[in-house]
Parts: sequence; C-alpha cells; structure tokens
Amino acid sequence: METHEGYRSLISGDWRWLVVTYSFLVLFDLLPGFLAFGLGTFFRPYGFWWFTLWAGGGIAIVSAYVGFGSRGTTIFEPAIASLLYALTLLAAFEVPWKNAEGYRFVTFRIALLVFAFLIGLGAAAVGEWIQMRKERRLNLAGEGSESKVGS
Amino acid sequence: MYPKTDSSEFAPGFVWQVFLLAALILGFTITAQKAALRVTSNVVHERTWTLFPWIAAGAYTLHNGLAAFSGDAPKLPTVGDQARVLTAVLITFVICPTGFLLGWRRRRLNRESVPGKSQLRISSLLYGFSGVLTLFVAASIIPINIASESLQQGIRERQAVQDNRDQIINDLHLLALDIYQYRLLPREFDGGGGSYRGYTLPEKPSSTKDATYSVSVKDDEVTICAQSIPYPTASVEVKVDTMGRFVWWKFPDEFQ
Repeated sequence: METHEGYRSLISGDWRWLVVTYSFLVLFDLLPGFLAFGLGTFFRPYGFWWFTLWAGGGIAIVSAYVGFGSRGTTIFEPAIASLLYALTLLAAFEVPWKNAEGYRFVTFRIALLVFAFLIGLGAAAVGEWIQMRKERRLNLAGEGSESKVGS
Repeated sequence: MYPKTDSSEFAPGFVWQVFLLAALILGFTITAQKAALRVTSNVVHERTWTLFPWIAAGAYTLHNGLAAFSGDAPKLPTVGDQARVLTAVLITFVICPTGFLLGWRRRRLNRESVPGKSQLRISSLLYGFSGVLTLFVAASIIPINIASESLQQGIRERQAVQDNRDQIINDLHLLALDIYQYRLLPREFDGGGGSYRGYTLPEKPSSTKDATYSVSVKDDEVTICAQSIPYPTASVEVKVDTMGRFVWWKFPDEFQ
C-alpha cells in the first residue's frame, strides 16, 4: 500500500515543492552570484565553464536539499524546477553560454536544459537516498531503545 | 522511500511568500543586469552591485588610472556609488552574520526544547540565506587576502626593479656627458683630443649604491656596462657614439 502511494505521489508530484525549489534556486544560486560578483563582470573573463559550475553546483545542492528535506519522494519536482531555472537564466540574462564556441546554438541550449534536468533529478535522488538511510537508522535506533525499555 | 503525507511541511503562507520573494529578486536582478548593460553600452562608468567594497574601490582606481592617461582629473565616488557600497558592507558584514548567528542560536534552543522536524518558514529561509552569504564571505576572505598580498608584493618588487633601472639610466646619462667631454677636450687638458681612446671612469661614478659601471673604449665608441647591485642578474649595456649619443641599449634579464 505504501509503495503504491509512493509511486502515485512520484508521478503526480507536489506543485508546492516545484515552486519552492525554483524559489530556492533564485534565492540561493542566482542572488548570491549576482551580489557577490555581478553576473556580467565576474563570469565574462572566465567564460562559460565557471558559470556552468556555479549554476550546476547550485542546482545540485538545492535539489539534494529538497530531496533530503521533503517528506516522501520528491525527485521530479526539483528536476523540473532546475529545468525552469536554466530556462530563466538562458532567457533573461546575458550569460556566457551565449558565447560558447563550437556548439550549434539551438542544440547547445537544449543540451543545457537536459543537463539541468538531469542534475536536478540525480541530486534529488541522492538527497532522497540520504533521507532514506537516515530514517532507517532512526527507526533502527528507535526499535533498539524500545526493546531495551521492554526488557 | 516514504510516501508523501498530508501533514503540511510548510508554515501557513510559506509557499506564496517564498514565491513572491523569488519573483521580486528575479525582477531586481533582471532589471539591474539590463541597466548595467545599457550603461556599459553607452561607455559610461559601469555601476555594478558587489558585496565586497574593495572591488568597488579597485574599479574606481582603475577608472581613475585610465582617466589620468587621458589627462582627466580623478573622480570621487558619487553618492549613489557610496550608498551602494555602504549597503553592501552592511548586508555582508553586519546584517547577514548577525542574522545567521542569532538564527543559529535560536534554532539550537528550539531544538533542545521542541525536538522533531520543523516546518519551512520565511525566517528559516532568511537564516539559510544569511548563512550562505556569511560562510561564502568568510571562506573567500582568506584566499582574497593571500592573493591580494601576493599581488601587492609582486608590484612592489617590480617597482623596486624599475626604480633601480631608472637610477642606472640617470647615472649613465651623467657618465655619457663625462665621456663626451673627454672626447672634446684637447690632450693638453687631459682630454682625448677627438678620440675616446685613453678614457677611464672617474672613481665615484664607477660604483654607486645602484650599480657597478665598466667601460670598453674604442676610438669612436664607448660601451658602458652597468651591473646592478641589488639585482645581480640584471644589467644595462649601452654604446656612446661619436656625438655623445646613446645607441644600442640592452636590458637583459630582470630589466627587460
């Protein structure tokens, strides 16, 4: 029963976590990057590798946190939010991805969106896995203490 | 994995509050970015937000340095720039660390009194944001200072080398005058009588605190070699022609 509910929630998703993950990405990746360096001034000389690292790292950390911190299975919400976040960056900012050489522009954009989705998905899955391990450990500890009380 | 539960993970109103905050931030960053691009494209002093005041100071120093080359007077920071830097200093070094430390203390006390998983609230979010900024600033200050100190040391060393080179060039000009004077003077007045042959360096200029000088004399040409004293691998070599002019400057190694 639990597994069935789990699968159903995995497919249907929770729109609130989608909104929260996207907002977290704006708050914890975009804003610190903007305040600390100014998106244009810092990333211009270093090219798109630095920017990719910054954005990818932010997506991974936030998605993993959401996967870990949310109750139940929250994997697709962070992934979709990551995709939307990458889409926002591409559409709204003069990011160095526009100047990436050696790539066809449209293909490169699609590849970036896919990467953002995959990073979000993978990081959220890692977060879920850590959460699961933690809860199992807590359950085991609970059972252990109960048996001690019982004896 | 565990199924989702109906009990809310979010405090009442958290989702729309956080979305509103994100929308405001997004609007602000997009507007600021577009404004910065517009200002840059008009070749006006570029104004950007930065958390570190030394970046703003560096930008002004560079700007004034370039203005000095054009003969313009250095500009003082505008009120707007000063306000921006003050805001950044207050956010980075006062508000965020204070919020982070107070939030951390409150969470510790709450955890001790009410164990269990707490709901997500805007205050937790601000605590997280303050923590990210505080840790980022704390972690980046040490490498920034090391890099800055190393850069300043490098600049001082290069300036010292340049000073030494300038002093040597100054001494060489005085020596060239002495050498040409020798050529002009008749032999009766201890001169060369139209030739450099027989010229020897005077005692004092042959060695100063900056360099040791030596000459190689031919009839119509004198080669002066200056060996730097503070930088033993550096030297200057130059020839004095029949008119007393310098030709064939050579600046090997550190003086290059």
